[in-house]
Amino acid sequence: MAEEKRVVKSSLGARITHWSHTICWFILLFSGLLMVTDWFSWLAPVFGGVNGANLLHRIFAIVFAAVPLIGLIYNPRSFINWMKEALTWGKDEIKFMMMFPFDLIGIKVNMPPQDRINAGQKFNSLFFPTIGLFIGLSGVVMWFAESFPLWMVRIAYPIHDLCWILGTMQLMFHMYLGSLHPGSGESFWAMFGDGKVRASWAKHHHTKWYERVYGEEEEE
Amino acid sequence: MPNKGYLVDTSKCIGCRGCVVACKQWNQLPAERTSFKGTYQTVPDLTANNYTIVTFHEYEEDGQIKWYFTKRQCMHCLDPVCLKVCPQKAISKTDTGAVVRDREKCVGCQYCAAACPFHVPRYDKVNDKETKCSLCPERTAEGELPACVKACITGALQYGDRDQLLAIANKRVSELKAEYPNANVYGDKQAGGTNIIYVLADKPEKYGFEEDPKVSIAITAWQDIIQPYFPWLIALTGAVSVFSFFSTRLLGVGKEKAHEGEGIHG
Repeated sequence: MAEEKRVVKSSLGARITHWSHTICWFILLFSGLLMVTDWFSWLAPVFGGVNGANLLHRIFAIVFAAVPLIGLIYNPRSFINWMKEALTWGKDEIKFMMMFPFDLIGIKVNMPPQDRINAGQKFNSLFFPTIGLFIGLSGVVMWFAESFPLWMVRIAYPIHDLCWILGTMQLMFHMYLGSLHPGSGESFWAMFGDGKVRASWAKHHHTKWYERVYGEEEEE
Repeated sequence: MPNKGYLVDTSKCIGCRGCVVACKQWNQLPAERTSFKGTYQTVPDLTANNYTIVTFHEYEEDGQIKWYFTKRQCMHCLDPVCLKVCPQKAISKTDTGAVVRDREKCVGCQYCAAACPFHVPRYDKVNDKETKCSLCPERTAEGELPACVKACITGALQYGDRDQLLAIANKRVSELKAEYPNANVYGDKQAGGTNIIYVLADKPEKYGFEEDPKVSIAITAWQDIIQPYFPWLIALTGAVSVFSFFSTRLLGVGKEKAHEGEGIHG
């Protein structure tokens, strides 16, 4: 069988940011948990004690914020286009979201045709940047607590906690749906690999996008 | 053991700052360079090296200059919010109700500083620790007076059982009412009551105190709602994901897609 044609789904910038955020999120999560609750005191040796976790938390917070910011400066178009995609909602997106619970438990449903990112991924694409923004801003206030007014410091703590809790909550779904959920393997290896998916897979899962971008090519 | 604290009777204070010096000496805190700001107050605010200060407030009333001075330090709350927010459990209460911190456990996160309704704890940048008055538990355990109380020459500071101090304070206020109609007791119910009791000759704001300091709603929501209940959402989505992993395979959706050449691992 001839090698099947592969098409680019995840850009290099998207993959770099995704890799960086995958690594940073877990380091930040566990170093943060070590500081915030004694349930995770068994992790202390990994981070060099609470003080080591404190330092690592700040170092990786800078990486966490810097990578997308550098990307934004280097190629703002890419980010704007991604946000435009994520904000475009029509009948097919709403239908997808309503049928999704059935797909999740394994009942076969005929999903409406989707764009490069499906409705669930669109939600995800809006959710995580929002979390990132607020966790970053509240983190700056917490880091330089003495330079900010007291009321700001006081709301920064609940915001920071709310962000990591809701972020990790969504991450549980995201990790599963993006890897082990039936049919997701292709885009998993695209995001963590060369960004490419097989054409037949793209046509089936992201019909609208495939037809728009690669459809004509096929006809030729 | 009954709650113990001390009474600060501002009507007896002469602003000598003996208590400030005694505190620094006992706690071996270095001097800090300050500059003259046109006020009699030498140390502008509590710092990591000043667990207690004497504040001076000047007002012009009825063509007269009026001077209000009082001692400021940790209030040793009956229900301390700093203890509640400390993620390292570095803050505790002694059997007499003094709110003390364990320097070894403190990681300098500064949660306590922001949560404190009196904004007392201060961050020590050099050692990355939070600092505040501890009510000299190492002295009082040996039957000694706290350093500041010991140094007070006018009897403005008085150490003892909280109940007795409150009785003394109320009696003193009723005596002062004739000359100072706004005299009041401070610390009996502020922030749920404190072990440091004040007799103020005038309204609290004249001394730079808040009339009714309360723990911020943001701090309460954070500690009582977000931290105890919200993490369960993570467990919930985790459980749903595990459920889906098995149910999709049992119902055979994965198999069907694998047939289409779209197996689990692509």
